[in-house]
Amino acid sequence: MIQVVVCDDHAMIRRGIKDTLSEAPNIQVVAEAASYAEVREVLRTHACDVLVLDINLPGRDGLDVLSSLRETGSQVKVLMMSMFPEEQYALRCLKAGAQGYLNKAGDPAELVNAVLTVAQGRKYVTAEVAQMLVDNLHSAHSTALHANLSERELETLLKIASGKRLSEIAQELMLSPKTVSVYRTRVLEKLKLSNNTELAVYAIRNGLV
Amino acid sequence: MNLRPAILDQGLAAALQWLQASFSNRNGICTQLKIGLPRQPLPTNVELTLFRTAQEALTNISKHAQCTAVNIVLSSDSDYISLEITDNGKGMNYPATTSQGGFGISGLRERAKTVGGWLDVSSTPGAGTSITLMIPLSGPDQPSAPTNS
Repeated sequence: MIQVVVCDDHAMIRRGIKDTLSEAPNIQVVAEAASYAEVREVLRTHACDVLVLDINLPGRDGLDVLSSLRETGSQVKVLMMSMFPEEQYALRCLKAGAQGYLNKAGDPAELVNAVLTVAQGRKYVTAEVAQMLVDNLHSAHSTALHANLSERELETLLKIASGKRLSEIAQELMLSPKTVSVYRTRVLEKLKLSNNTELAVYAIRNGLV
Repeated sequence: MNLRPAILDQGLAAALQWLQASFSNRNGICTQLKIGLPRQPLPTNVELTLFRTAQEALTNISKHAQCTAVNIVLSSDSDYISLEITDNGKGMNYPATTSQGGFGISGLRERAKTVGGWLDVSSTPGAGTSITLMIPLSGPDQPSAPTNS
């Protein structure tokens, strides 16, 4: 028997999840929790194979709960759930140590499937998440960081790298200095650099100037 | 113009894809769209401003630009979201154009201000036009970005 704890702050949602899971003969919902404090208490007092965890909880959210579980070395399998589409949270959840991610808009049958899958020690991803993972794989290999820059951001990078001041750049690109300043910050952020010198070095190393 | 179009209920990305597809089909102009949304959900008025600006810019392009390619880029970092719409058309003598009240750009500027953002228009006759809308993600009450070094 797979023992499941459901954590969601909405009682009707918990009920729906519980009823859906109880249709599977080998799954048993042993406890429910509505908050971080409750889920901690429940996990102390109940044996649990799979925790079905909502991302949006009052106070500390589901991602916080997940990371504190992982920090304390908890072996419980975590299936994250949210009303947001996969692209917003799925990869973050998986990176943070979740075994699966479900969109609440999905088919209830998926929930049963997901619980069975993660209980066996495997990961559960929807077709959408699988697609994103493959896309990520592809982009990590074939593109440099600056491929993520927009045309204007790239132009800003090149002009900074060639020693131009922000006011000159603004004039040449016919943008307001505020916009150029945002572009500069964004370029640094996207390229994981911290100042103009590093930026120039990056541009030279990558043959951009 | 202030009504929220139903397509936005499907999310900003879907709404922009719809704009791009219908613009491209109607005008036969090659239109590229690149979307980089921030992690946090956007306030509805910010979504609406981005959508309406894209829509208005595309309308301007179909009426005036005589271009063969359009590029739409939605891009964000931790503090700002930006929308750039660039065409390779005939361009214009900006800002001379606005003093004649043309192209609804002043309307877009006002709209940008309501969400704490601003609009840049860069254009040279013969070399296309680019519209950049920049909106702070922290809301209109925050101080704006430090200017210049």
